Amino acid sequence: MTLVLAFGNPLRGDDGVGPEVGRRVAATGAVVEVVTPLQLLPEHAAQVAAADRVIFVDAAVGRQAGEVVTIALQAAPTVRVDHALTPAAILTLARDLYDARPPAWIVQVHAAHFTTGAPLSAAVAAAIPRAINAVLALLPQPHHTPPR
Amino acid sequence: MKAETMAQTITIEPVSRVEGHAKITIHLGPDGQVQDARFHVLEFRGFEKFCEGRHFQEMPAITSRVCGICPVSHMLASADAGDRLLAVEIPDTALRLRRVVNLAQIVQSHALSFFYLSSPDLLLGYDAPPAARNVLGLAAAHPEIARRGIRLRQFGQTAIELIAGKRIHASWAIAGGVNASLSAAARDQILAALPEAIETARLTLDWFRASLPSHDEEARTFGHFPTLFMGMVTPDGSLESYGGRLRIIDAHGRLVADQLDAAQARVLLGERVEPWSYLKSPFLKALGPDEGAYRVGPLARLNVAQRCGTPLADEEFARFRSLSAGPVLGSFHYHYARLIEILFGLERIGELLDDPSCLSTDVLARASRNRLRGIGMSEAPRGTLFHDYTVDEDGLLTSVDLLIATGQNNLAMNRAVTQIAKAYLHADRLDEGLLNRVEAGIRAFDPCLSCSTHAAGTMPLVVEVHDVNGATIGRIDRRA
Repeated sequence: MTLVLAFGNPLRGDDGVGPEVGRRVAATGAVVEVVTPLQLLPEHAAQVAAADRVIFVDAAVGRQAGEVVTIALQAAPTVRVDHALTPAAILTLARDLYDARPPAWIVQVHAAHFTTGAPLSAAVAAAIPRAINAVLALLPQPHHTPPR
Repeated sequence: MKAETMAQTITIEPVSRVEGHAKITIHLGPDGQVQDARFHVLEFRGFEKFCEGRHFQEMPAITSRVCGICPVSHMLASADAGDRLLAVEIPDTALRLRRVVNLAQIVQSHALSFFYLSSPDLLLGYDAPPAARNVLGLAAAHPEIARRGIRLRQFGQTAIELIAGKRIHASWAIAGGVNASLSAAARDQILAALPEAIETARLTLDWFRASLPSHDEEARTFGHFPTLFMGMVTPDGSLESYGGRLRIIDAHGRLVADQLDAAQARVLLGERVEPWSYLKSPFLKALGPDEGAYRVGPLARLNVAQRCGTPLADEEFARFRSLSAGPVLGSFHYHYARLIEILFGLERIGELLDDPSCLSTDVLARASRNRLRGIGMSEAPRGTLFHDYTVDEDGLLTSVDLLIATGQNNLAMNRAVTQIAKAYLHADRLDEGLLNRVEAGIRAFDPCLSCSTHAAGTMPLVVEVHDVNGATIGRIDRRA
């Protein structure tokens, strides 16, 4: 089973794009388990460990708003830890606690703003279909190897 | 992290692995020795003000947004205040289920505090590199403890979700009761998970108790001083977390006040505001801010109670109380008390759900507003939480006062930081050892600054040392 961990806070503008993409991926009927938490927590490591592959979906900054980027992920040896963990930290916990190393990617949707109470920006809303396609492209398909 | 020791103050900022954002300043006297230390809370959100004008029935859902760690505590204190505005007694099943949810909240929050935030200090040592002294370092060095801690927290969160509908920000408890009864399937799922959770709590207690001699120094220096203690008890003096009455004792264990309802307790408490922090400093008015300083939370609750009231927790309670002839004064033992409360919470959840009445659908008393003021309370993981509402005849709030557990520990936290700084600060150098111990001392209280200032965000720490003239002579910044 593929786990889609689509996280973010829908009350903080474009930070809500992860859960929105997650819900719409589930609605496609794709054979995936979709989880849409506000943030990543150590508890998610157990779900990651039980998955055949993991696709994180999150908002990002640093590129033009609406740009969709897919990056392959690995467990990171040293990760700064506060309350919310990074995808790499979750993979590290899955490795150290459950000896699990599922292949993992993150689909990033670059954001315009994180304004409290604001809806998704027009650029990010328009990017959602591309983000969904990016997730679906990572699912197991006959004669297809997801990008690493 | 960076340390500067150019001229004259000590600041720890941000304090990491606590909930919110804070700074600590350490003030030296003319002799260069530590004279005072202050725990500053720098965030402010103003929940009390922007709730004015809202209807009191909305408040459980609104105030659960104060915090992502203890939303249940706010929801339940708010619903209790609402019950009092309605002037109703809620159905027995509603009270039973509110108690279960509050205990599940205590279990999950204590598990987070102990396993995710504090056990890296205890297991990896205060001098371990900060990059390793966290839950990832714990997972690498002690995977079985980390696995069990994660499962224990999951138990509490799952129980909350099964009963209240959501893990965080549920809108389940309302004035008059709760808006959904419990299904048999949900009850059975919770009960089935209890044995593993209890086993984890017992194993962790066995390990922690065995490790206590190695923490003797911390037990003596991490906030070991006399204060008052306040916590909720049952009518017979057993530990309670919701729907009980408050007891206050002094540092010798003598009763100061007993069986107070929220309104009676609130009258006894004053609040001091300091210009250097958004965190108010409550105290017992009759004794003033110095003698009237009190502690709340797990340590206080186990000090005021005569017993837990469940078999396994009572065995451990007896060992805990044997640490001291009177109340246990060392704030380091908040950790020990937290673990005992986890065990108690799990046992009590089992008792409450074993009774068939927990499945009754009679869970809501219906009434209109009958009073203009209602003060509710719950024992949040970090201590007693008060919600004090005044409304107009239409039920619209004209004033809101949230008295938060972390705030009630503010005076004690400042004393603890001062004590730690006196024990570990060498004025000529600011080192990791000092920073780590100051942080760990604060962390023993498990402060939640999101709640206590009603602020958003997470909390990293800065420590500054100031000389007698107020000049900064050293600074460590955990954010850098």
